Amino acid sequence: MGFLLNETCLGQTLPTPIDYCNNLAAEAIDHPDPDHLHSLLIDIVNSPSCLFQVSLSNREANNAISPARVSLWNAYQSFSSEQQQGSSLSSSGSTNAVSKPSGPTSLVEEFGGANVTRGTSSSTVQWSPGTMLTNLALNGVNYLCLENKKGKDPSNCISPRLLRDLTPLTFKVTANTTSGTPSLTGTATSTGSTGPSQQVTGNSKGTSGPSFAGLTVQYSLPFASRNVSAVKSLTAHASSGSSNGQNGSASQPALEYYKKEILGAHKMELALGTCTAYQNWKEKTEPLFNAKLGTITKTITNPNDKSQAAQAALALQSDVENQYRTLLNDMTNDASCQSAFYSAKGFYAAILEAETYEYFVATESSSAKPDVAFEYDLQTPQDKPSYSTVKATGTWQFGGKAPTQQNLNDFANIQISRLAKTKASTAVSAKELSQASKPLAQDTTRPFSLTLNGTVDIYNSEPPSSVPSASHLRDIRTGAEFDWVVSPFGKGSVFANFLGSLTAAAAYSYEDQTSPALLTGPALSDFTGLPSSTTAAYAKRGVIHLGQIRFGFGTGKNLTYPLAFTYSNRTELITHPTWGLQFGITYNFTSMFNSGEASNTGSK
Amino acid sequence: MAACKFTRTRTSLLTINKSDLPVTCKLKNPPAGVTIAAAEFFDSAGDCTDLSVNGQSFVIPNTVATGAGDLEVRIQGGTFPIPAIDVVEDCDNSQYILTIADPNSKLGRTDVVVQQ
Repeated sequence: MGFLLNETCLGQTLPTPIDYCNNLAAEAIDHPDPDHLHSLLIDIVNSPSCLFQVSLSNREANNAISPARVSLWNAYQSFSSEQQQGSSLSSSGSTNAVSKPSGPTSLVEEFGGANVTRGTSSSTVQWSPGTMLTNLALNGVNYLCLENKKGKDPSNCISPRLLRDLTPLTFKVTANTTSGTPSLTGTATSTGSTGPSQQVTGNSKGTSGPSFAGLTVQYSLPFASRNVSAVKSLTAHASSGSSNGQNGSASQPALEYYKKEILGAHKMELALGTCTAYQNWKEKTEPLFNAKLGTITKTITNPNDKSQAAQAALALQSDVENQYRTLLNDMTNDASCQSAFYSAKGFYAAILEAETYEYFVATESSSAKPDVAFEYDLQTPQDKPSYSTVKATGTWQFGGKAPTQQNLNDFANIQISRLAKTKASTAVSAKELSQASKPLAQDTTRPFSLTLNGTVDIYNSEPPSSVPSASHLRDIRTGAEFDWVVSPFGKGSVFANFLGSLTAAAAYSYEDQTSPALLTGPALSDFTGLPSSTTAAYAKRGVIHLGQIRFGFGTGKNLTYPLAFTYSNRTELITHPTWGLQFGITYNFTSMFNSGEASNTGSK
Repeated sequence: MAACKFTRTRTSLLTINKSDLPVTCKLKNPPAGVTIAAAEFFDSAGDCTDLSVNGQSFVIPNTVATGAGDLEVRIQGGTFPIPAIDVVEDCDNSQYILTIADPNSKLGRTDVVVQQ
């Protein structure tokens, strides 16, 4: 599958994309001696970008060298205490009392409903693309699409700028899945009244029937979103040159990654030594290139005429691309070249992991910066008027420590050993890369987070005028949650491998019901004492205090199991205290974005 | 300026006598802001030597093993896309070593033979 999305889609003028093979040919023409030609064109370790560019027209070859990426980033996200486990608060079955600004790409099934203030106990299923756009950005923007500068991207790139703008946008679709029992039972508060709106007293929580519960659309503020920072960092390759140390050498952490790149290049060179197709190609192609270069340079009669040089570069570029295409075809049909493909993939991956690392360090060093998000929820609860939720969310992560040199060395060594080992298959194991990333992520992700919510619920239609104090403004809520990610089982133990880390959370929510909660439709038949003329029932307003203790088992794993205990002084419809036990299962699909196969951006 | 120590026995095969080590190599006419981030020498046994880097030059020490080797240089800085930058020996006629031309990897390599 490929992506083709660029500025033409936005009606803007398409900038001239950077053409790595043309640049390479132009350099060869500028230095038309055999030594330069060998270094620039024959030693393909020195021209990875042109080789990659040519591979875009050979799906098999591109799949063999296109690197897996974002392994560290996704591992970091999976341990982050700012990532929400389970569905958002807006769903009635959610295990969460407070919403967080981000979450994984996940499918959630939850039972119980921490949102006891809504007066229902139900199960909820929620599909949340979460960080999917970020992952698409990081996977879809290929090795050559790193620059994020107008006019500097090669063709067939997803625009990094467009992806950066889209990344903070997430949405969630939620449905109640409990099958058909009454949502609430109770009695009419007063007898003898025949009005269309009746006050009721709820007696017990019931369960909601199956229904579409709502749609959530969320956008994080670009200046604060870690997702945006990730895309910005990972698509702005030029920034990698900013980590200068003294005397021109790189800073120590960056140096580790530059050394990984060097080792990747060395491994590729070694593997090419046993690749028969490459050795044959070298012997045959070098004299051809020399002859061609001699012929082409003779066409440049005026060294000051740039058009002549450009024409010459185009002519040589055509030969370079044809020869590289032939080489890749030959290599894909030569079993002796499998380790060369594998090493090339490791080389490209080393370059990209260095970018990921720079993002990692940048975000870990800015603990005071919150993630801020705005959210809109369309709520369509069963037997209640629909309403809209507008929510502001902020999360701060703190505690822990920045990666130490030992962490980095361990990480680099593990990654290199996994990347560099020779395998029979040309496919890089994304699972291996991801596993190798987890120790560093687990050691250095900030373990504490504080999340604040401010929420306003608004009825989508005017409530009946016969309901006292009813208005469009349904309620106002604030909430806070403190999270702590801990590894109680240590590392490497059976329990740790199975259960992962643990997120312990304590939350409090305050809700002021500015309008009485309303019930409509078939649910009214579950209340005794209501006259047949009743079209809406309402409960006595009040302030709702809700507290929750939650444990998120499986933090850092693909499967997480939030378990929560929630207490409330009342619900919207029941005026006495209530408590609930909630349990959820979340499957994190983010791991599928670690696949190297997903990083192809399409064919030319 | 000292005489050049590297020779080319045939195209693209750089040779140097071990007795001529250490040898200093440098970037030839680098753009503003471009420096060497790291340079390493892998001998035929796969052992790696971190080369001493000082801004725009590095030194291959006399501790590297004789035989075939792989010289790798990674630069940093500059504005994208960097132009091709030659690495040359720091001698009177600037013996050509290798070219760094890829703007993404910013890395260049060459085969080197260290003779006894």
